[in-house]
Amino acid sequence: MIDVRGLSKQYPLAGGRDLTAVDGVSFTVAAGEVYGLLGPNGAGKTTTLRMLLGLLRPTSGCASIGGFRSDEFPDEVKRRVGLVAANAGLYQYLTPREMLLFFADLYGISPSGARGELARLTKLLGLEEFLDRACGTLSTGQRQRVNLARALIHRPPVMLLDEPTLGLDILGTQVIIEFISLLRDEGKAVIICTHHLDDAERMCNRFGLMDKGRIVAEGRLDELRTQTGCRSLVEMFLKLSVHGPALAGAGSA
Amino acid sequence: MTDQIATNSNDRLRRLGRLTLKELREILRDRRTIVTLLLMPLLLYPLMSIAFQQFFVSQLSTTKAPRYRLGFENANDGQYLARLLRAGGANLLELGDEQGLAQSDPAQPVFEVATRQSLTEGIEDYEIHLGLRLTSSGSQHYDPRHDLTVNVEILYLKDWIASRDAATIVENSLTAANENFLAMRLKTLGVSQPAAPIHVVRRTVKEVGTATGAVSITAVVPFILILMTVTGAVYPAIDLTAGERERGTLEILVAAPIPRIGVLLAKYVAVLTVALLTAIANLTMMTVTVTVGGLGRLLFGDAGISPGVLAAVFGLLLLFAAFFSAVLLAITSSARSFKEAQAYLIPLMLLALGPGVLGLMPGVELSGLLLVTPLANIVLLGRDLFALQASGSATLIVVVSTLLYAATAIGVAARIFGAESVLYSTHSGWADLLRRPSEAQPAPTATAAGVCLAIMFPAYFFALSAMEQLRGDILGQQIAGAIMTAVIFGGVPLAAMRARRVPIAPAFGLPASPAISIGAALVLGLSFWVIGHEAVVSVQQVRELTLVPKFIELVQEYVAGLRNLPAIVVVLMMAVTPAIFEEIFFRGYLLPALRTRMSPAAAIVLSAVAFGLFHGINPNPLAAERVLSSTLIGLVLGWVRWRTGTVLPGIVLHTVNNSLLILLMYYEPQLTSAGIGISHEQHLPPGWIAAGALGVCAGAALMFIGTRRPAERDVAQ
Repeated sequence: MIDVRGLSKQYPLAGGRDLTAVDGVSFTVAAGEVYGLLGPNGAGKTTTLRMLLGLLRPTSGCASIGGFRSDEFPDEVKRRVGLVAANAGLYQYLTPREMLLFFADLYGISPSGARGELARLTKLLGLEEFLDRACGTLSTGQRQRVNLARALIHRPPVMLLDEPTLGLDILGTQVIIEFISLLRDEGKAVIICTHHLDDAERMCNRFGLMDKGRIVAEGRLDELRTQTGCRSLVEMFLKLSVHGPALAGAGSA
Repeated sequence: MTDQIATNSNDRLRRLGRLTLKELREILRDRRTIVTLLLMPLLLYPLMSIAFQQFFVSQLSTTKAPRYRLGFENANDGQYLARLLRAGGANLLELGDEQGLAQSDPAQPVFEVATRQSLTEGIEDYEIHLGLRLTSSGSQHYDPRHDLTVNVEILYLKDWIASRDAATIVENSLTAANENFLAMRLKTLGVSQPAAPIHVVRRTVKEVGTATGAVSITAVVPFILILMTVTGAVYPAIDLTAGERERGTLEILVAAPIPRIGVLLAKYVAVLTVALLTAIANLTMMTVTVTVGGLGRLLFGDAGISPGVLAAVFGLLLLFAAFFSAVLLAITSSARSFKEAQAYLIPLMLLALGPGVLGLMPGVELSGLLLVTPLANIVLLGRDLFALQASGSATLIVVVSTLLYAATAIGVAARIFGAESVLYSTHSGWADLLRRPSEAQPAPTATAAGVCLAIMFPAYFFALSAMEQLRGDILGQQIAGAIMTAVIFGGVPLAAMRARRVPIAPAFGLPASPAISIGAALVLGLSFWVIGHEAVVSVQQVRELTLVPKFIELVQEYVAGLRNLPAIVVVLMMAVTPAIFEEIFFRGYLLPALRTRMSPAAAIVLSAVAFGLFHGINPNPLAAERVLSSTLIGLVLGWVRWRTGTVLPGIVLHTVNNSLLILLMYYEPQLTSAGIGISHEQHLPPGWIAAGALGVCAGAALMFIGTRRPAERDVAQ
């Protein structure tokens, strides 16, 4: 479903030098698979997702979803993807109902289809109590649930989630984890970018560990354990990262 | 295919409507919008009305008479002087004289009598405007029982304007009374000659023309309305672009499968709507305030503000809002935060104030460079509309140039809005605008064409005005005209194509051009001038244009000058050169660019209208007549370009048509003497019209039969 091949992105810097944000990244994600793209801040996870969706033009390499290259058919790719961006906001003065119907319209869903999908997602994500309140008055957890509903309103086969548990408490995180397992059961191909490695262990069934724009290790958790000789993702990172132990001090800022 | 395009257009329109509705819903629920939309005009106009009353109206008003206080050393002096003046037929209007006040001119000064022991102190303390001391030749005090003559000493303060004015009035009244007494005495003596042969009448000029006033009041009103409309548009423009980026909703919006231009157009319509709502609120409040407060009569004459003027001013505000909303979006789209957008807009506001204030200056006319200067042209047109002095051609130039600037600004905004550099990087969003594409582009874009038009329109206007300076040097004028045409209509699009990596030969459909299409173009060119001529004459008759003899003389002089040049030179400069370069731009560049955004029919019509309007902007008063005929031939040329896929047949058609018209004018004396002269003001004989129409039909049929189906080879490909 998702195919990424040799994807690179360089930004020009002052003085004529280039900053390599993503460096030859390749991986695939099948339907019904949750792929964790893990790494510290600045590892290139979000840039990879943006190139995958056609929001950023890759310097080299390509990414495709459902057979459509994102640099050639961005609209076809966008139609198949639900994006939950890390800092995605909501329209303060719209209610979740208005916002979800608006996005359904953007994706070309018929009004009756959109109402049906809205009812399903409202029940699934527990939006009833704040469906008609202005988004500006919602709590962080409620906002994240509206964002998930917004990404799913057009029933995309692919979900890209960038830091979906950012700022959530334990209960909020648990809702997201359960929801992602539901997406997997529905047969969606899911990519989750996070630097919360503990959460990732619970959500994903395959991992790509990124550092400095490169994937430094890839596989299922048991495969990674065999490859690295480490038990947890945190230990693996400390071992594989070019930062060495300094990574531990970097925290999650 | 046409049905599909229509359905797509309808879908796009419906989606634009829904997107706009969402933007409006969001922006109108924001209390800050309501404050600028409703509260500001509600408070502003009554406050401004008071300010006007205080600072302007007191200067302008002629209804309130000045009041002066006259000081006497005793009450008897005052009473005696009043009696004396009355007897002399030159009495001063006194406070308390109700009958006199009721019958007098409301502007006549009114005097109040006061007594002061020391007149000098009274004046110095500003208690009285004048001191009038009555003495006789022999004594300190005048006594009417003994003294035959009275000396009236007028004391006043030189640096006090009101004191000086009062002194002049009193002195004049006393002089008048003296003259009357003299006349009465002469009459008593039987002398019939007038005592004072010179009779001077001084009148105040109430109507002060805009050319001599300090600041034109009628220009202040549109300027204020424009400023208020700007205020209404600024907040939504920032909020819907930079604000959206700051809140993190822009990324999810551009992640949806909709074209960026669609999202931006919805935002544009929303900003424009809020700007217009603000304009309506301001216009309504202004009208109510000046009508209720009585300022309307003062500012706009006895009729006040008529509904027609209000409608015209609203149209002007609509035009301005269309322009300014687009400029605002172009600027705020490049900002990554609310604060950054505000920082960008401050210089824009300051820049906008310059031409706006220039428009307020007295004696500034809406002509020349100002016709195409953004904002200044709108302020001046607004002033002229209020003064009922706006001319049709000036209005047309202002409207067209402003709409072109607006379209360009939207195009620029569409390139920047949601661009990679604005969404994600710290680099300027303007870099995206200037970036040259890495690969060759199949056709010019509508945005680039809009930018070209916005550059060409004022450039063409200036060039034409500059060429007027060469009057007298007919050859120099022709050469300059040909160079100007080549540079503007050829140079600008070719440079744009080079910058955007659009290959020239394929875009112009070169070198392919079937021989039959050239033949068909020849037939069309030979016959279309008849239709063009009829269109010009018809428009002339509808406009009932009467030309001043001086202009007719100038035209005749110009044509006579042309006849001094060889015919081939005239044809090359005035027919061939424009035909080649206008085809390069209008059918070679603009039409394919428009075709990337719309159906062939819409692109042909729009390019033809642009072609027609370019022929209308000319200092020549006859230029307006050419708009219709030029648009008509523009439609034919567009159709030929679409049908054949190349610009060559169009160039042939255009050249033949132009050459025929030029040669008819060049050889007019010979043709007239041969009995086939053509008047530029009369319809052709019916036989000629029928032959022309037949020729056009034959040419069109030949073109239709001799070319492939356009669907197989579209101009945009």
